[in-house]
Amino acid sequence: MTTRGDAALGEFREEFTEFADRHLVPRAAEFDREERIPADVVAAVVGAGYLGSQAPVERGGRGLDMASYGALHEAIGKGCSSVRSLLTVHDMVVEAVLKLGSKRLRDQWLPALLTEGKIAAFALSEPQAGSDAASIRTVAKPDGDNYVLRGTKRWISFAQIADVFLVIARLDESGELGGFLVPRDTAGLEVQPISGMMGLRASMLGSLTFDHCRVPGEARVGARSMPGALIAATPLHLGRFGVAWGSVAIAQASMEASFRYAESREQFGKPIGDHQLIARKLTDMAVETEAARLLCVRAGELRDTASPEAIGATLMAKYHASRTAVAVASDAVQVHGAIGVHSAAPVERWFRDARIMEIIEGSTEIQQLMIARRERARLQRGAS
Amino acid sequence: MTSDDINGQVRGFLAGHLANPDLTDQDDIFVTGGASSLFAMELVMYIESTFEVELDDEDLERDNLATIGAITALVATKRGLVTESGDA
Repeated sequence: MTTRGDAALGEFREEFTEFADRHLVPRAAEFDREERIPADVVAAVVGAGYLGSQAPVERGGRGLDMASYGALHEAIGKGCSSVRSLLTVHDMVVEAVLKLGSKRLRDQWLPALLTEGKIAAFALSEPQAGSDAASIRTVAKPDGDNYVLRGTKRWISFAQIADVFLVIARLDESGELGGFLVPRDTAGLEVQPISGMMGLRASMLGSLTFDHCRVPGEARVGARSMPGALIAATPLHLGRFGVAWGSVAIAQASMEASFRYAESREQFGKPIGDHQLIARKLTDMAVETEAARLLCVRAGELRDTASPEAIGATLMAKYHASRTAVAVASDAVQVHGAIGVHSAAPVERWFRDARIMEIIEGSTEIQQLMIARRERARLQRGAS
Repeated sequence: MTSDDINGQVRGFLAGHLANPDLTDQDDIFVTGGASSLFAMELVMYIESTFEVELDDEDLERDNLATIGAITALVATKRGLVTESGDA
């Protein structure tokens, strides 16, 4: 991964925005209503190289630096948050294979995930385990050269179309968490679609049931006994970054729509944007969105230099940006009045989508706990 | 850079990040040190950036990262400071 200059970043932004304007913006309401992303749109995303875009070019990715990767998530997120979510879950699996997988696993799966159009999904959450990954109950039991998986995963984004799942399971022999790449057609794996979500409705969620699901030992991602849930933390670190930028996207879109509406809508003889109470809302929307963006930029810079500080910066970016998305989208609904709560207005969808951003890839409350712990330790050691 | 240098730097990093800063070379940082799941990733990034080594998938074993002594040995090996007999 190389860091590019402003000119290249500008070209990327133009390309990503053009894609979103062509493929996503005109149809996002339809995706939301029908709770699915049509195959032609998924194919367009694959064809553009937007899945696994952080992977090196020599592996089949686009080798995006984190500024460009953020720009991709913002542009796609402004078009359709569900499609942006596809990027996140797929990229998390690619990240795990790239950073934790064996050479054999990388050679086996990266071509499929980066150039052959196979879709990957990240299977961590369970009926009894969300934020608390330590309570995961899905078990992987060794059996000769194989592992046998038993358990249930829930709320798995794009389970309905994924070709392969990165399944996080408790290793029977050590009690640590391990990861397994499980193809969709593996015997003993059943996928049930989930519908009726409040936001990101086109994310095609599903539940996975593993009933004596046998996978070869080579399907395991990472060393035999990785410490501290590294198998989950590594992909989530990237996932949070994408969600942070996706939150900026929602805030930015909501803010822009509100400024346009406040300019065109007149009440009491003047545009509502000229009324001080609305002007204050617009100001807060603009400032908070910019603050969220700057936190994301900072996190991206630290990630590009492989600094350990990138972890804390990403937590802060995700925390602030997701809360900002909710606040700004909520104000956008208010500025729009009655039309703001009708499905004809994108702000109604953005508000519902924003609410999900505070939950996925680590809830707001989990971010608060982690940020507080880290800042306390930082202050104790006298770091600025 | 000697193994003692590596040990000192790793000890300093852990002391500044973990709830229990008084760790021996053999203490398990994930048990007595209070290391979180996120910290494991931070530790890997610290090792790679500070000591200019690249950790492969087989390096990321718990046994290689759980104690100051093990981390020191891993870094020393990656930097070519360890002989075939295991002497640093």
